[in-house]
Amino acid sequence: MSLSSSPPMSTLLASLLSANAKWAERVNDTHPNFFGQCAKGQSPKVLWIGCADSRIPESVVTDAKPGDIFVHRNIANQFHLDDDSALSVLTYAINVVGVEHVLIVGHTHCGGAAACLEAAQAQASNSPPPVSPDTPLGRWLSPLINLVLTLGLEALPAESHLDTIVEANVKRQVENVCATDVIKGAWAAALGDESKEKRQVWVHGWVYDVASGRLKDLGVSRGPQAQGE
Amino acid sequence: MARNSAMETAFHYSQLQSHVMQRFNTNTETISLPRNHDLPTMCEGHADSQCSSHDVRDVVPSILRVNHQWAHVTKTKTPCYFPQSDKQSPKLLWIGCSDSRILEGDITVARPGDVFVHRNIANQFFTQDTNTLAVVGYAIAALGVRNVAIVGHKKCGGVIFAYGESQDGFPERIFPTEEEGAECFASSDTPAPVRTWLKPLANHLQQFWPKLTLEQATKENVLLQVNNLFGMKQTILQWSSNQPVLVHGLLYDFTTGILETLTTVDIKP
Repeated sequence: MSLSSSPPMSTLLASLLSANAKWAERVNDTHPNFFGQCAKGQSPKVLWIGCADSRIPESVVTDAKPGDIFVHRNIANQFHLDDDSALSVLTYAINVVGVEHVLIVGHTHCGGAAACLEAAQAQASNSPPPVSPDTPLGRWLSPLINLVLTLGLEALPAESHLDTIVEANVKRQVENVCATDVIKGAWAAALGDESKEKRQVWVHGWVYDVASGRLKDLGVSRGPQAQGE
Repeated sequence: MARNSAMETAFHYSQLQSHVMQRFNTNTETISLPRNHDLPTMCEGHADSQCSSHDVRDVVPSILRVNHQWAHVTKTKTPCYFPQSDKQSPKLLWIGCSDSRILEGDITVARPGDVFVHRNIANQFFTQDTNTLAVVGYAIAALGVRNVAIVGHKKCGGVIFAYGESQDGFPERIFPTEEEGAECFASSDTPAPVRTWLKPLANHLQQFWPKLTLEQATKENVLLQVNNLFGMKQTILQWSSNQPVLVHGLLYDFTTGILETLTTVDIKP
């Protein structure tokens, strides 16, 4: 199958491919075996569920090598329990490649969070929503908008609203991930194993500061010992 | 929102290339990916290229420690590296695979702010998938992105699974070789959510039998996603206010680090 005749390569793509070729050549010159080792398969210990935002290149900010981090990125680092995409990533990560740490990573100046703040404010003032709930983006952000409405932001300084939403969102997504069968199953397997050799899976909530490049642990990590059911 | 001209964008990437050359001018003795400093990576001390620490408690503190060192050194050596604006204006939307061997931030030599990213199992784009649609819609309508890249890769576990599933009903199955990634081919072990996710790809690949190589299946996967995007032409043009959007089908080989172009489609009125 091939698509109809292609237009000339865009200048941007040509620049991208040129930069990529230079990068690959440079890596190969300094570390000749580097790419070859990737051929052996992957066994990352970390799944990064982050935002699609262009300011958070996860491999760069964690100084990761190929094989270190399995990645899912979407608008506002969401994990919806009815989302086949995120669920298939989580399941593949935990049950196929053997990930041990799931990181939910929010970030400062999140456009998705800001859109939800505007939507919540519009709802409170009976104004038209900035993002139509009938669009894919509107449907995608709907749970986060509902979360924003529960945060009692009117009691907080306006300049803190976005950061409050970003952190609350991360905590909510940690809860969502922990509610999945795949995580519950991993925890149950670990708790039921008296030898303690069974893999322990942890879920963490972090926030990345785009201005400084620093990751912050929100201290909401959950693992098998916290599972009380 | 101001749009960079093609010339400015090309110059921007030339600057990125210079940045790459400077970044790689290190004498690091670690096996980490060459970047702009000599720092221990999250897998410091391990002889192989993949993190093999079995102490679960070390992994997260290690990532945070390395990140804080990286942020400090980067801020010192390249003060303009971190965007000071609270907005982003990326030039490219990358729709790629979740595979841990694909470092899109390095592969594209991107600085923060350059590339908007969506990654899922086997770089799928479904017109019914709210998750991906929200990303594409936001990128094009809100951020002004006019280049979308669907990036597949060789040895993709998702493609290998779909390749196997697409042979259901055929008397003789073809199995990938170890070179092609045979260790991924335990289709009976593939969890249900992943099987559901890859069903459309498996269904699509059926039409190419009785003759289909894994390499062809890998490319057809990328072309399928590009075609799915093209099928949403009217919606995409609404998002772009009738400005053209280029959709690129790319293939990444993590054994060489090289991106290659399979196709480019121009979505225009």
